Amino acid sequence: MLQEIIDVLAQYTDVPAEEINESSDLIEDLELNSFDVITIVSDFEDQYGIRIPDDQIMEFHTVADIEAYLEKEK
Amino acid sequence: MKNYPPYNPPAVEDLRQMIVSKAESNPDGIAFMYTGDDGTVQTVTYARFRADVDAVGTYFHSQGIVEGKHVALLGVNSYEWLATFFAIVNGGNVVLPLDARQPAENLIRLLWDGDCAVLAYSKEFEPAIPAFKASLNDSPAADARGFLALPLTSFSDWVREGEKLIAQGDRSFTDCEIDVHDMCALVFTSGTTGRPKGVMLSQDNIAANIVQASQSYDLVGTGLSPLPMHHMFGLIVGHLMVFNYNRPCYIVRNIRNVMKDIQIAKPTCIFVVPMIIETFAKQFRIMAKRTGAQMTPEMVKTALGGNLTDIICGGAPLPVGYVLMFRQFGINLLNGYGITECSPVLAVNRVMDYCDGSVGPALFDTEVMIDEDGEILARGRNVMLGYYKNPEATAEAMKGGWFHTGDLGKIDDHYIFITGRAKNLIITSSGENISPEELEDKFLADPAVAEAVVYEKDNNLAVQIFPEKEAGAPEEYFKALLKKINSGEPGYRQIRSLVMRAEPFVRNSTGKIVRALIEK
Repeated sequence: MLQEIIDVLAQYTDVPAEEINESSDLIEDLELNSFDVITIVSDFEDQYGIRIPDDQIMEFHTVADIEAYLEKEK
Repeated sequence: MKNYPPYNPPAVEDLRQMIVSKAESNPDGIAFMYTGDDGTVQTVTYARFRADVDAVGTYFHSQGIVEGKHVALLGVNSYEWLATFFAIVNGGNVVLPLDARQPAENLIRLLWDGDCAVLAYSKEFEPAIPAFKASLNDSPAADARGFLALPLTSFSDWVREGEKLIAQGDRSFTDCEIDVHDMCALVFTSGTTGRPKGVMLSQDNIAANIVQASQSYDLVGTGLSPLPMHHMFGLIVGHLMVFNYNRPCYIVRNIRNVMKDIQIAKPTCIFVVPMIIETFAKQFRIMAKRTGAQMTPEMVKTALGGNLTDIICGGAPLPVGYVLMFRQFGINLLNGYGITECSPVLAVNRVMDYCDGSVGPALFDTEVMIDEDGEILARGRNVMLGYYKNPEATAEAMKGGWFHTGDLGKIDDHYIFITGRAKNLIITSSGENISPEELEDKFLADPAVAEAVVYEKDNNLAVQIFPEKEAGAPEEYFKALLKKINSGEPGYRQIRSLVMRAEPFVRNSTGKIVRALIEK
């Protein structure tokens, strides 16, 4: 799961996968904007067949936050 | 191309006439489209829209919402939001479009400051309503019934009730006299100091800007804007201008569905802020990586619905590289400039009259000049009535009969270039205006903080704090304070980094901190 998330983020951001880890901050380290986060999360929704509430997306600050949520809900 | 003539959009006398004329001339034309809760595409004709607005407005009148009542609108983008907007302003009342991402305490403060007696809200806000009522039942604006909160989920009931009243001969809404020079919208915007300021706009201001903007851009197909309707650029350009052009307006109900909505709507033009352009560019990169091929104009066009020829971008500075990139793909990325106080557009690049790096020529029937300090000044029918209950701020902003934008710029040939800010406002790539002083006040309220300055660093907010030495608080204390302040702010206002200072900030002769000397 973690590696899948990291691979998607690496493709999206141009940050090498080996430089992304659980504690990477989506905005500060990966320079994503809030619309990027929404777009990436929507891709995960389609991939895992789940629906992530809007207010939950606002709680995603790090890679670990996304991983923990997807692990719980998938 | 200088002197390229204006387009000839339909005239707008006022916002009621705009609806009535379309309903009469093109009753079965599609005014709005959106994806419903069941996933099917819903369409609303001009005639249906007029009927819904008339019915809701009549129902509101029957509930005593008359004679200049201030009615707040709080919710995500929806057809119901838009129809309710018109039911408020065309009934002689004043609408307060609120930013749905604000924490409840900020919203309560705006409702109080804006003298709101009534709130129409979407279902996401149901849990917050008891707190709103408890705080606002005794406000000066509330009547004997207390603060009235009306759920937009009851929209179809309002229509049904209103239609019954109209059938019984109730003409209170449809014949209600509208003074186009009265305030019809009160829009709170981050000012350069302290509390947000309420920008007062009239129907004449809004009607003028709808026409001015469409004289510079000719919409030939469906328009789509993912921007929130409380944002004046999203509302007036992204929705009302499209409506006035007799073109279908696709309502994006949730920004997360924008790419899917674009595929359904197949717009010829979308109205966005730079943040969305950044994301499109990243998506093109990921598509190229996945397919192992360079993006071609055909691939980009397909990804954006197949019919897209133009993108109008405003709300924040747009790096010129994106303009060049989209041009390679055969799409005109037309950067513009505006400010809520000007209803909101002042300038936009045109398909036949553009200059890269500029925000284009001033709109027709507006005047823009640069004063001796380099500040951009504006004059025209689209300039606001003033700031609500703030004559000092109004006088300051309207010195010499010109609206002072607070932006620095230059005009070269007839193109306007934005070169900086005369004041301290921070503008994010999503077009949000953030007053650093407003956030700084929250730090300064803590006795352990002697000085605090909030600024923009790498597209994020940062704060530097000089501690009150006598308090002797450790750095962890300030980290906890930052976390606490962030927890009460929407995402775009959250501060991402904290720097503790060993020395106080440099101040000028009048005692103000010199922000330009702060090492970022």
